[in-house]
Amino acid sequence: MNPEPSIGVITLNGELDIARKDELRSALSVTQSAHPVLIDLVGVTYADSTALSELLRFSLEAQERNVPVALLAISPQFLRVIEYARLDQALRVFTDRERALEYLHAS
Amino acid sequence: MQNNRLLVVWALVFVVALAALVFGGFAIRKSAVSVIDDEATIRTTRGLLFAVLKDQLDEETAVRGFAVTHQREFLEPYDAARETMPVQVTELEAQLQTLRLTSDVTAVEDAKRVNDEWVSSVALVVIEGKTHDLVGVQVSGKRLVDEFRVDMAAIDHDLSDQYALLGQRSQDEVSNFTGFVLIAGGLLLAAALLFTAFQVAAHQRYERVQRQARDAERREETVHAAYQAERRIAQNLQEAIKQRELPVLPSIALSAIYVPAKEEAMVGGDWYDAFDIGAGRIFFTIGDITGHGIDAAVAMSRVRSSVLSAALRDLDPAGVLARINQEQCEGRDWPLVTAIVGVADSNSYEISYASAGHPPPILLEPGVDPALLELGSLPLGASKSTVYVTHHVRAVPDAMLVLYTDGVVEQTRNVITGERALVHAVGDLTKAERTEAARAIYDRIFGAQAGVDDIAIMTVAFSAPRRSDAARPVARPASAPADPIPPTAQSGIESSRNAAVPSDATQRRRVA
Repeated sequence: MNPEPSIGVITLNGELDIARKDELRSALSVTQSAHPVLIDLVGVTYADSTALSELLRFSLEAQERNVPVALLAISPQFLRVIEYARLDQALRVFTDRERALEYLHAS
Repeated sequence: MQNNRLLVVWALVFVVALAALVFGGFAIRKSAVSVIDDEATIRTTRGLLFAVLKDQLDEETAVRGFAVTHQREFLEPYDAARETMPVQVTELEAQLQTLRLTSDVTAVEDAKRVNDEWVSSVALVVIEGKTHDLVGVQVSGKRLVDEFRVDMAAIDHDLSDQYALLGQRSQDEVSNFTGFVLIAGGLLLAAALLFTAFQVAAHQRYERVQRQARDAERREETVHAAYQAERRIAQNLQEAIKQRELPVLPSIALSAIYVPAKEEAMVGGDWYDAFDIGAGRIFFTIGDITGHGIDAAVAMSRVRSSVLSAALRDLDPAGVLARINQEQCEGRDWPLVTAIVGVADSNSYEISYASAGHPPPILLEPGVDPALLELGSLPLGASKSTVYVTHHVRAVPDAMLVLYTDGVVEQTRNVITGERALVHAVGDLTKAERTEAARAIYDRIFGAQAGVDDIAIMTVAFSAPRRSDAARPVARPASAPADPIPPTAQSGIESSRNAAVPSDATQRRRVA
């Protein structure tokens, strides 16, 4: 169940909106290494466009550095917001933790 | 922190000073009392000493007088002294014990023995007339009396020494007392100084806190004023930029509504627009800038102009988005933009559109439930390599396309229920409401309450044609009135029309 230490895990909870922009930024800036990153958003039910922008920019930058990023989310409404912003085109979105870790280990 | 330490030091010094005062006071009092007591005892002892000496003198004088006169009355002082002397001697011994002068107690014992010897060997011999050698008796009596007085003198000498010691002790007491007063006073002074320092520090801290509070208040006022100003500017910008009249076409009915966020900080960058591009077609766009305030309003105005100028070159929706995306990606830290651009053709009832991270358009067709159309690609400004796609939808006459910004569905922060409410509101539209469809949808969803976020809704509806028109659609003249696009620019759009709208509705055009 526990991810290997070579995978960076960023966990966020609640509603991500403009008020939490700085928190989100610093959480995402923690991982600058080449390790694969799991963004655990299981506890997130909503993200506004500002938060989605941050996630998107982080994922795209990681992509440029060839760092695999997997996003884990289960809330249907949050998944729909992710779809709106097409985050699913910029990074791999999983609803199952095992699958997400498998993907990150494989890449 | 520092003030707390100061307070602790102060309290300690104060307690020590107080304790020193109390204990020192008691000690000095006790010592002074013992000096006074000892002095009284020495005085009493001396009195007793003199009383004993007087008794002895009375005895001797009385016996000598009797020896000369042989009259009994001369012996009265002798008898009285014989009675009082033992009492006085006992008392004297007790007092000497109190003064812890044990050698003097021994001296008193010796004097008592000498006196007893004098009584038996001199006084009684003389009184009872047992000798004729009165001179001899008197000589030995003189020796005993001298012995007695030596003892007494020794005691008196000791008592004098005690007196002298007492003087020394009281001098010590005085210097002790002076020292004590100095120390206690010093401590109290130190405590007072510390207390003052503490008070000053506390006062300074209080002033500092007050000053900070005042500064914070002033800052807050400034920020609030700036905030208000920003809100006004953002709103004015919104108003100035947005409220362009929507084109009026016989074959396409347009309606729109924009409601700025109630909260000042949330006024942002929503926009919608539509242009008559001739031949019964309109070019439409709706979008949203990430973020709020002046930055978003300004960015909105820029992006919206870009949409217009891109559409002037090439009407292909995906092409327009690709162009704006390139521009947005050039800008450093520019906000992300979600947008839909499209073309509605009232001749073919075809709608072609491209979307960049925007919520899906809704298509309402008579007799069926409203349908959410396909999503597009990433928001504008996210990645240079994003590929935008033109979607083609062949609609029916009387179909209506509903475009909106995320504020419409994210009101409760649950997009699923928001989407459902929107679809219901669209599905419930009556025929009469179609001319003001955007407002009707808004009212159905929000009622009287304002949204948290900016809200924009635009509807694009084909007007059901009369039979004669349907067979033979008539293109509008290029110089149509109420056309917002300048005539010079319009020709460019016209010329690109055929290339921009592919005839195959299912085709998806990829733009590099």
